Amino acid sequence: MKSTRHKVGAFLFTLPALLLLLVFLVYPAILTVRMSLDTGAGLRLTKFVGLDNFRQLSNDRLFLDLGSMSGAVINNALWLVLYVGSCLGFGLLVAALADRVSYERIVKTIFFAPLAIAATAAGVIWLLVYAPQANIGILNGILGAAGVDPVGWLGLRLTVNYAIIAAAVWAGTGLVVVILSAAIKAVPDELIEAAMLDGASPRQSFRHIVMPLIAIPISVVVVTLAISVIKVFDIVYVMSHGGPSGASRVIGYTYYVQTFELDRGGPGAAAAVVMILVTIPIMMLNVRRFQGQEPGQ
Amino acid sequence: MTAVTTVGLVGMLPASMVSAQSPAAAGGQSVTVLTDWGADSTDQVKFEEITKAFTAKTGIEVQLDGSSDILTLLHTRVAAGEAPMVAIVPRPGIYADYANQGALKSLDDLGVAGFADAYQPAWVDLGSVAGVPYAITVKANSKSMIWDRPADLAAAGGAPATLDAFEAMMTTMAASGKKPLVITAKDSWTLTDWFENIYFRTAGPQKYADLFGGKLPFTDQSVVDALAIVDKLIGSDVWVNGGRQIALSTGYQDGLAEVFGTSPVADFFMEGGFTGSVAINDVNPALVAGKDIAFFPFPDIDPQYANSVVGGGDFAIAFSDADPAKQFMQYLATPEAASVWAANGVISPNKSLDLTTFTDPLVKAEAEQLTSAKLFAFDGSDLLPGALGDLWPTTLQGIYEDPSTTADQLAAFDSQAASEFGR
Repeated sequence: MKSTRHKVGAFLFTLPALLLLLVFLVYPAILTVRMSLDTGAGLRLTKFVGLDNFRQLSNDRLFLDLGSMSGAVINNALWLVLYVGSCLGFGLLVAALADRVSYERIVKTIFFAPLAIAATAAGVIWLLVYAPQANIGILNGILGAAGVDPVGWLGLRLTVNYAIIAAAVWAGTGLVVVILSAAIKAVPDELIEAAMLDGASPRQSFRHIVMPLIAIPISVVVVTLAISVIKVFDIVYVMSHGGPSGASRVIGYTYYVQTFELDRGGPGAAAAVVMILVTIPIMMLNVRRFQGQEPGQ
Repeated sequence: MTAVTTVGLVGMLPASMVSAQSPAAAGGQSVTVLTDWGADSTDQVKFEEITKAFTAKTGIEVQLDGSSDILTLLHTRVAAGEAPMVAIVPRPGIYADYANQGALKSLDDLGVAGFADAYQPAWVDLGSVAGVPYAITVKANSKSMIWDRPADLAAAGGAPATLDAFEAMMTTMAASGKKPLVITAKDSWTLTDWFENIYFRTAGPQKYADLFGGKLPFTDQSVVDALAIVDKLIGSDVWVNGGRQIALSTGYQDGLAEVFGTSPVADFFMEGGFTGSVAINDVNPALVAGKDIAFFPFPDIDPQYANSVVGGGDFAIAFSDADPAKQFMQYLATPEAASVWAANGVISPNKSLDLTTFTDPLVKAEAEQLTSAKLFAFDGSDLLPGALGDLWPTTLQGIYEDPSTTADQLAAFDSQAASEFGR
């Protein structure tokens, strides 16, 4: 009896939060799935078309072209590997090295500063870096000084994705530095000292003592970065408009074009559903990871 | 509209806009207007003169809002049931979609009288969907202009009349070490204007209308031939500043600065009538119209299609037939509104337009080009329905990036076009 009352009470206490989640998260998500099965003309439910939108997307060379391994989905995969990998790599390196120097604050402030800049603004800054005119673009200015002809970084299929990802890494590494730096600080000094006394080199103590202890913060960072990559849009829109000829489109860009430019809610929602589907395994990995860690904590 | 709904509408408008406008008088009527000109853009400021004249005449307040990103704003507002009463849009393809959805009021419903008499039949047709008139062209502009610095053009021998002469002139200029032509292929819409100008001058009006009307496949030989001419011109390493790969990473405004900035590095820039005001307002305020910046007509190619113009426009459409919306649309079609535009240096295609009222030499020359053209075609990419409007510029950018893919790209585009046009 008491436990039933306890359950009812718990339910009542969580009810407001549950309602908010239902209205602002679950309902829109269901509506998105429903919209992806509709023409969605005029951004309204208009006519049920089954899986036509997904078929249309799979035939869209700008969305997925397995023949030439290009398109928005492939670009998102490239983002996932390069952006997450670079942010984590640089972030970990800076956090670990900064921990050992006296001017740690200055280093961290420098890396953290870009985080205060909106992605769109970061995009504008890097537009100037990549500008083809050597008197504007610093990169081409440097190349020019070395006697190399200017390169149109954002106009070339070969370079455009890497150029935008580099700008995003510049803007995103700060977060990783801050989180991992805090995690490294939380590792008890005694453990490191004990390892040293046992003859461990700094590299060994980092690899075998620090790394396992900051595994959870690292996995949190990876999941956060991975999810932010799957929904990336703003910096691509600002820097290349998805060009040249769609070469730098990402899934979010397809969603934008279909929904807002073409007024076609159906194919747009289908792109959003693809995003959700790609996100689910990452979330599941994350949840499982936390569950696996719990007993030991 | 009652006072209560007026207040409701005002409440839903962006705060910045409400503060910019005097609030509607209690019990007064108002009309909401959304334009495709940015909030503080030159055109929007000039359009406010028309809305002021309208308010002075009728007592109806105009709640004016504008965004250069109108598609996003309009699509979401209409979907949310918050459509503006009147919208000004840049592409017939947009109102064709809305007319087919039944979201628009026809000009007949709105009581816009004498419309067919005040405009050339071509503009009336352009504003109609399946024979029903929906849109009033409020602003027209030429897209067949090559912008130059008059002193340097004169030194190079003056405006070339034919494409051959233009190419010869550029070759001479390039011999002195400077590449004269700027191409801004990063903004793919500029490529559509290059194609349209050359296609219209080589394939002629009938094929142009058939191609963009969905009757002629995009794989037609005339398209391939025109694209070859386009590529010879804008893909040239001799004439184009920086060559193809730099052009692909140069945007419209950056390219404009290469010709009209404080230290110009090139000489020619092809784009529409709005280019003059962008150059003067946004690139280099020191420019004097007619002296530091002017244009010559896009050169002729095939003599039988000489003196032709490709042009664009902005169109007023109404989502409401409430009285203020009716009165505003009726006013927009009057010679009076056209003369307010003209007095502010904007070209209306209204027949009553008096060319002598223009004081800006660039606008006057543009109006003369538009009215004296032997052949006129509307911007074809703006006519394309649905997804084609996005896909065509992307396709042209892909062809420019790698011309060897022309046949593939055209075939892929045409299969999409066939389904959109239902052929």
